[in-house]
Amino acid sequence: MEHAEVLGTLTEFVQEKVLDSAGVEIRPDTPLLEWGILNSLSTTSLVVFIAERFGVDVPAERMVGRNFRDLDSITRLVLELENDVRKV
Amino acid sequence: MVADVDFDIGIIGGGPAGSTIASYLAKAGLSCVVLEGELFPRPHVGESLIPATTPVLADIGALSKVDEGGFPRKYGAAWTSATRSDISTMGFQLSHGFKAAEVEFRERDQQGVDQDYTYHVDRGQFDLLLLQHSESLGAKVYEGVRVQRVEFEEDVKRIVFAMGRREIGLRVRLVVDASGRSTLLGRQLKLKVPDPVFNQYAIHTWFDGLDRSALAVDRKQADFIFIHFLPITDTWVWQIPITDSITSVGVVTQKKHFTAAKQEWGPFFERAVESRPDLADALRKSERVRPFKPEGDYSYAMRQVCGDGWMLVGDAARFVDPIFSSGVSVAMNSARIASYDILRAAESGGFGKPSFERYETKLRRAVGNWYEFISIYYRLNILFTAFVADPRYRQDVLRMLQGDVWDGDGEPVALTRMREITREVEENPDHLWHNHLGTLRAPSQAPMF
Ligand SMILES: Cc1cc2nc3c(=O)[nH]c(=O)nc-3n(C[C@H](O)[C@H](O)[C@H](O)COP(=O)(O)OP(=O)(O)OC[C@H]3O[C@@H](n4cnc5c(N)ncnc54)[C@H](O)[C@@H]3O)c2cc1C
Repeated sequence: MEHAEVLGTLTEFVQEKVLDSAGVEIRPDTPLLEWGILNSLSTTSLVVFIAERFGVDVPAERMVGRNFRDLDSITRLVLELENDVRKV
Repeated sequence: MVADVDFDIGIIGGGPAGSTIASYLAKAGLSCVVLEGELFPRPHVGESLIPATTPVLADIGALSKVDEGGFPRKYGAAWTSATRSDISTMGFQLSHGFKAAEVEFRERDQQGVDQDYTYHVDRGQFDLLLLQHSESLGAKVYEGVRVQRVEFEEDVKRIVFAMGRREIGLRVRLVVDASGRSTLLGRQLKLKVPDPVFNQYAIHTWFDGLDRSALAVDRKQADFIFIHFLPITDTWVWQIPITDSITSVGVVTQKKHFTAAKQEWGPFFERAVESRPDLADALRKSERVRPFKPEGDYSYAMRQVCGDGWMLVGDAARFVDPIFSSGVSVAMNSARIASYDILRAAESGGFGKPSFERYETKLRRAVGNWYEFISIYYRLNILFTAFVADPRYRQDVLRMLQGDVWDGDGEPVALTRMREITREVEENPDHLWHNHLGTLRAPSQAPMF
């Protein structure tokens, strides 16, 4: 899957399900954790969404700040995990 | 040479552990005596059962009596916590977001269990029923007899108690200590080790007319056990149905909060529940019908659980923490498993320590699993919520919650994963759950006996 496609899906999810309004602009580098848009609890549900939508499990050891800093990092994480799945 | 004794087996204490082992042994034809210090029915803490009690009740033939005893049926368990409003729930799989987790027992088949419910019990009635049941199977039961000590002789043990001014010694071949938290033999033999980590205390009572659905999101679940988390460290409240109108409510908290209460249990209880206004409100509209009762110093292990001619079952062997309602199920299952070794030993003619090896191994493994599960729960609560919600682990967590920890081998996969993740989270300050780590921290070595 393409970076842009994953990014788009994740952005939509955060806009609609986390911020509850499709109108708000979130950029790929908006600091989600720093600004409290994502917290450890809502990240857990994001992980469930990622599993359902992209078919990849985010292992607990990768639920770290570095990977969830912004939409760009989350997108990279998803793509990496998809790659790992394909290699197996 | 077979020594001359009054009974084969002397059982100290007539709670669930004592009457269960008496039932198994009497049914198999051994002569047993149960010595119970109180006159039944007597009140007792520990009112919510888990499904692992069902096969034991069925085995000893008491299940239909319990089922017809009018005890409320328990179909599941639910957890609620005070949610901060800034936490988005995002249509997460939990039916009402992070406010609660819940499980129903019917979600997982359990060997030896043909019903999708267990029971909440008034322990006065439940323990009386079980004790009378053991009597009907041939055990000799004496109530109002408080054992003082056990004298160990070569082949014979003397169980000593007072009758008026006379001291009496009953001669038995094997002593089973089922004296609960009195831990008669544990104290006499200096085996008791207080738990270095768990130091929780509880204050509990009964309320009449509490609206149990006030905090249940789904009315159907009003008769589940509810565990309400309070926004005070490691503090929670149980809500257990006792009858249609009576509900048992208890606050469990750290010793430091408890000590600070200076024995003013009423104000302490009220202050604690006040931190959950919805709960406090429901309680104010109901009437308290029993005095507040404190329970403390209840977490400990024993250096040994058996020896030549003696063994410990139920709380007399070990108790950790009430969070998962495991106590009565451990009492009854430890009695069940101990009875297998005793019956085998009775055939071969000796009650030496080596004959109780299987019991010791199984008890250690089961209680070890409980201990770890409970430790992780207090250490990283969010992990429990996440695992319950995660289809990969839900069944395995449910297995623990059903109490199905006795007959499989090894530890449940979920427990292994939980331990690994907890370690990750502890070691990595960047982990998103790092600041959720609780203050209770269990040592990583296996729990001792
Ligand atoms: C705060 C708290 C909440 C709990 N909640 C739950 C729960 O929801 N569900 C659950 O399953 N468990 C719960 N438990 C645990 C539960 O209470 C015990 O695990 C269970 O009662 C153990 O059964 P037992 O037969 O080993 O001991 P007990 O039920 O304590 O029975 C021991 C018996 O021995 C008698 N005895 C004691 N000393 C002597 C003596 N010297 N001579 C003669 N008789 C004696 C006592 O009178 C008593 O009847 C809770 C415990 C605590 C502390």
